[in-house]
Amino acid sequence: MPFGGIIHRSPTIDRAARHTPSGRERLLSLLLIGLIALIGVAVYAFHHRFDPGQWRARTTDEAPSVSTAVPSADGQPAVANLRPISAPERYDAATLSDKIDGKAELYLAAGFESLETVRLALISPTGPWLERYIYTMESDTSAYAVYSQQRRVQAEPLDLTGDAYRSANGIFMAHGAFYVEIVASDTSAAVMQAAMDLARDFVDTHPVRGRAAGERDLFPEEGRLPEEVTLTAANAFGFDGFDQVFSASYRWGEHTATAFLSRRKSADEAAMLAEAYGAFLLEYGGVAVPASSDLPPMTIIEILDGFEIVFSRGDLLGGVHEATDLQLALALADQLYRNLGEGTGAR
Amino acid sequence: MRIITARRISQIFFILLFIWFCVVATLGERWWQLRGWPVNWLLQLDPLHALGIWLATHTLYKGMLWGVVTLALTFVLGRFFCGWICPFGALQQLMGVLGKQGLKPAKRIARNRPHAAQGIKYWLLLFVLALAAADMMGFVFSSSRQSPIVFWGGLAAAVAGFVALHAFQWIQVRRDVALIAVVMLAGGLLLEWMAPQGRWLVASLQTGLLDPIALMHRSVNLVVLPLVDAPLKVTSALPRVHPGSFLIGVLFLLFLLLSLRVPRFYCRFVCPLGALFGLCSRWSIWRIGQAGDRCTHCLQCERDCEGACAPAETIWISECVLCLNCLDRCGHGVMGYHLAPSSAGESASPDLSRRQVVVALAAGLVAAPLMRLDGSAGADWNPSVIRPPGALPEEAFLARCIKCGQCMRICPSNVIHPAGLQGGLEGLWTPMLNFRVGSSGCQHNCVACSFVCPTAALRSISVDERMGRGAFAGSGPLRIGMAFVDRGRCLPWAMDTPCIVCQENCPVSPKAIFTREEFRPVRGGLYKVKTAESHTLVLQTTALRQDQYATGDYFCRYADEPPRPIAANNDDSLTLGPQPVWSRLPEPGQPIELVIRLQQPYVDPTRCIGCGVCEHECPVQGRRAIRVTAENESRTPAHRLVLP
Amino acid sequence: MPGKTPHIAQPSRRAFLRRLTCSLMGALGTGALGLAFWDRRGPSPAVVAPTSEPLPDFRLPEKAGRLAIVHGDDRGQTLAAALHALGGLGDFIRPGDRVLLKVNAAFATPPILGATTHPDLVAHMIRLCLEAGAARVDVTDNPINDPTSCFELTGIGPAARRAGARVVLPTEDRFESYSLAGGRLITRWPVLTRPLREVDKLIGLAPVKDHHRSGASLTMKNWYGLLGGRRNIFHQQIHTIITELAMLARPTLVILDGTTSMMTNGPTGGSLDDLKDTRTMIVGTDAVAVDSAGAQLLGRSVEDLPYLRMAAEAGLGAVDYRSVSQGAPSL
Repeated sequence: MPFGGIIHRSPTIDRAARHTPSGRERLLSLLLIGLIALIGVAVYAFHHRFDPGQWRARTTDEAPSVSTAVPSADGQPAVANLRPISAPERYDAATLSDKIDGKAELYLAAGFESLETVRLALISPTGPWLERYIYTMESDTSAYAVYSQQRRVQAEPLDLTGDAYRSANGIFMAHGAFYVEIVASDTSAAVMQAAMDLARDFVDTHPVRGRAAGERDLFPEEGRLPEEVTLTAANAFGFDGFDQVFSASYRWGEHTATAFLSRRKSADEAAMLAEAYGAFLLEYGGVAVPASSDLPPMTIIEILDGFEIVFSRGDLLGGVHEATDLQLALALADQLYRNLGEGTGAR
Repeated sequence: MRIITARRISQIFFILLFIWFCVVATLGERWWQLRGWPVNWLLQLDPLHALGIWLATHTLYKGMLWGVVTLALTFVLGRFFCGWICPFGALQQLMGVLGKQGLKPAKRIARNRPHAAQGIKYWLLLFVLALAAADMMGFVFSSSRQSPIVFWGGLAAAVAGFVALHAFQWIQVRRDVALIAVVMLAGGLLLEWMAPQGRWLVASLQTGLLDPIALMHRSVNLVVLPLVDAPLKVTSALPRVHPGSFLIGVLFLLFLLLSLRVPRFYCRFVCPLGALFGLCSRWSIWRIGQAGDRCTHCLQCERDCEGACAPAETIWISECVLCLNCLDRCGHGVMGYHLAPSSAGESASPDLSRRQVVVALAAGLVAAPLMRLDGSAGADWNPSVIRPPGALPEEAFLARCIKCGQCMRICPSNVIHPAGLQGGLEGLWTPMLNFRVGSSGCQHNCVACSFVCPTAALRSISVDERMGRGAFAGSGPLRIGMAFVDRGRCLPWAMDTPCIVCQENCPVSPKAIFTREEFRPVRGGLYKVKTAESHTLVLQTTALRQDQYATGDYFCRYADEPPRPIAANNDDSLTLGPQPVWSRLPEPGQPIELVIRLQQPYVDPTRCIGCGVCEHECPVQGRRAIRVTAENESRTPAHRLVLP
Repeated sequence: MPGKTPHIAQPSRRAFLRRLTCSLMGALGTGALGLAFWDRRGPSPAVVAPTSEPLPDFRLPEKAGRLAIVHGDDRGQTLAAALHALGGLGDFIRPGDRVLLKVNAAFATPPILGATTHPDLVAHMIRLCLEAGAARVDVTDNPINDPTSCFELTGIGPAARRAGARVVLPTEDRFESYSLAGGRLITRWPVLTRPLREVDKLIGLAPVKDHHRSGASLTMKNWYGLLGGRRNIFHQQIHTIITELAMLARPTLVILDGTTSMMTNGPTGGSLDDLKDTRTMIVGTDAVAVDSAGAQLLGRSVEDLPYLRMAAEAGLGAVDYRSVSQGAPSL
């Protein structure tokens, strides 16, 4: 045989003894073991290269229509010192909770239509960024409702548009049927200035007619706290029938009260609602207080260490809630009643 | 360092690697989880699957190219895979060693005698290859029309090559074999030209049934690992269960036990992969054999011969698995791994008569369309066979699935299970979804099964495609079935019991399950009023249990007034909620009715993706009151239920 | 085994070389085949509807918007007169043209029930086509019942063969997975396209029938017989599918046979009481106009058939058939 074998040993006499491997055999064995080690190393090296996005959606992927690609400048606000860092997102009634979770209920109950958000970052100094939320509501009243129900503490009223205020890191306004929030990542002056510019740009590019909710003007001025009037869209004061109720807080000396009013569809409805609220209060342990005859007709109830008054005038429902003093409550109710008289005529 | 030490190290390495791949096939980013571990590598190294898929789809998918490397090396080296790499072989070898403990040498030698039944695996190989061959045959014959130059040119070259080789006596072309080949070629061409669209033969990939690597993956992933991991909870927090895996476990155990008695039983008699290697190793450059004529017939070489190839005499070269034990044992320096064939003579393979070959091939060609008659891919399809997302249409699926069980192993919800005969004979051990077993439905943002499938029987889909977003927004989400409410079993429909668990859990947005409210009279809920106030009704009964009706679902109906919710009750009175306001209260003696508010679920067929979460969560735990079946699955347009 | 093995001659170098070549050829061949068939991407999603080669537009632009209404009892006469009013069939069929007649052979019912195209009409049409010089006339449909029995029992098959035409049965190889450009429902749906791709002129022949689901079955509904698969599903959006069918098939001529109309219980009818002798033959190049005219025979107006308006809006024809040029008077 002209070719030698790879593995070939010299014969031994002792059959039972284990042979000693030849040099060639030893070399081959070592080479093969080396090859196996190489395979092991390669497999280990391989396991670092992976992309979990190929197995399933990441949690950040859950929100629909989110893209981290930087979009073009079209449709972005023309404000200096801001550049977009994410594509604009749109949400409708079905997907709103994907963006703002449980708070969606507030908007949905008030007549939410759509939300558009975008994130912008400061060009200089780099670092701070802000997000602008534009809620398109179904009416001016709806926008006002969500605006007023979310009044932040430490709010500083702004002169931007009818209803606007700023907090340490945000600007909030109800402008026509829009409710706009601009929330900054920190409270630095630079980013807040950019936020103001952004808000002003929005107001300039979205002209609206007049100011919403003339009912607000019907509240008596005396003793009224400087916070703005709140519009509760549903379930005001825990009573099912009280929707679209404006309320304002008052303080006379050490007594406090809340006055409220609501425009109903008809005078009958206002009357029925007033009566129902009275019944509701009585049901829950209220005690009726006889009204004096020189006051306009109203239901007065003492409940839980406070006083409630409710009446209707025309298609307007009005009253006082959680007043700590009866005289205060009566005076406030009287004043409100007179104001409502103007309100029923004026439309 | 002896060569068999290297071999043992290699076997241990690949067994450990195999076990490691089984363990890390869990979705996750920790080092003991999937990350980038190439968990399919051993399956990809297996050329039987590559060959089967190539025949059944005339393509070779991605990683299956590794099989080419193994096969090419086998041509050169011999059956190194069997002796050095195959984990099932190593396991059986271990069982064989255990089984031979304490036996005298003569008994050991007797266990390794060659046996004619070792030819069975060649029949099995030919059978499964023929089962899969229809597509390749069709492809070859259709190329005579579509790319005639390639076809006729290739044919001419092949014929010329064979004639030349025969003339130089390098190979011997037997006349009967040539005749059969010519007849088949002519027949195929005739059929192609006469009935180009008609298909007599179908391709069915059944290599996975008996392939050792697939068998090992299936058995370990679906049987051994869940049993071992149940207390350890490394791979899964909840114990993983696979109904239908009993048979898999039993077969695994059977082969291992048989290996105690007959070493490498499976390798010698059953393994079609070994048969493939055997056929290819005939021309290996280096081979085991005797050198010189010093052999004294002590038979020490056969004490531990794994392949039962009789190295002491005319060696059955295609049975040699390169365990090299004969080499190690031979005390006379006779056995070697060298370039020349054994000096004691070689025999190519166990005797396979021509008749047996033809029968095996023909049986395979005929069996596939016969199995297809079962109708699983036709009109009598089984709607309970819900395939994982990304599955190809059934015929294409059956041409690719190697029943390795990787998809079942990786599924994070543990809802993919090996089918029994629900999908027909061909569907044995193919993946199907069972939403009663698992931790949730098929998560609608997960594409792990299609990611891991080594053969694209579940084609690799992106999350966007699964959810119908981004580039796929136009076509909507991928559907694997449709949920149907069983109104005879559903609690709000049939049992007057409020429940909307299915609607709550439906993951798509907007939900595919919606409810409609119905007020239904409570059984025995008619009472007469004794006294009535605005919020309290005292009834002429004392039969009520305290707060029996205070769950928030019960309402009180009077005449034509709208139902009012019952806030509380004691044994004779009800406290009603303030809304809706009744225009009049019941007079004493008038009847009121207690009703229960039921939200009854409906399925929106345009939104349901068949994910099965509803079925999984349904509190009717036996036969669920909402069940998913395979109607409307995206992969089969013929099963479409509603128009887009 | 005991005993000495016989001394075997050492194999020759030549044998070794042979083995070496076979081995290397095996290895290289495996590698080459593997690479040649290597498919990195795998099966692709059938998400994007492939654009099918559109079916030819068989309309003649110079004959657009023509319509003829003829009254009479004899189909052969009314047909000939109507065609004459449109300028004669010779204007539509050039010598050597291959013509396809798409008939309604949906049910295996006798011709007197009026549920299918009348075999006399088919025979006359074939004769006229051949007289005009057509090289070949094919007759086809994809019936609801079994095709062979449909063509036989309706009399269309025998009549066609007697007249010298070829009946083209809807075998599986004649269907194609078709996607209509601009269509929403006809995407990757099996359509009987092959007979249409093999001819030069397409003529639709339909009877006037009431239809339970769509209101009426006239010439536009006739193209439903080009759909394959489980086409019942399209009944969910019947008017859309009829509109899309009108986009799919753009014939040279449509012939609406109102000699007897099925007034109720369509589309299958079943009783002679369902029929009425309306003695009208409407032939035209604008299927929407023809159908609008045909609707009158059933006592329906355009408003009763939404698909007419939808098709008109899609630009497939004019609903106001009276604005379309008229033809000959009664016979």
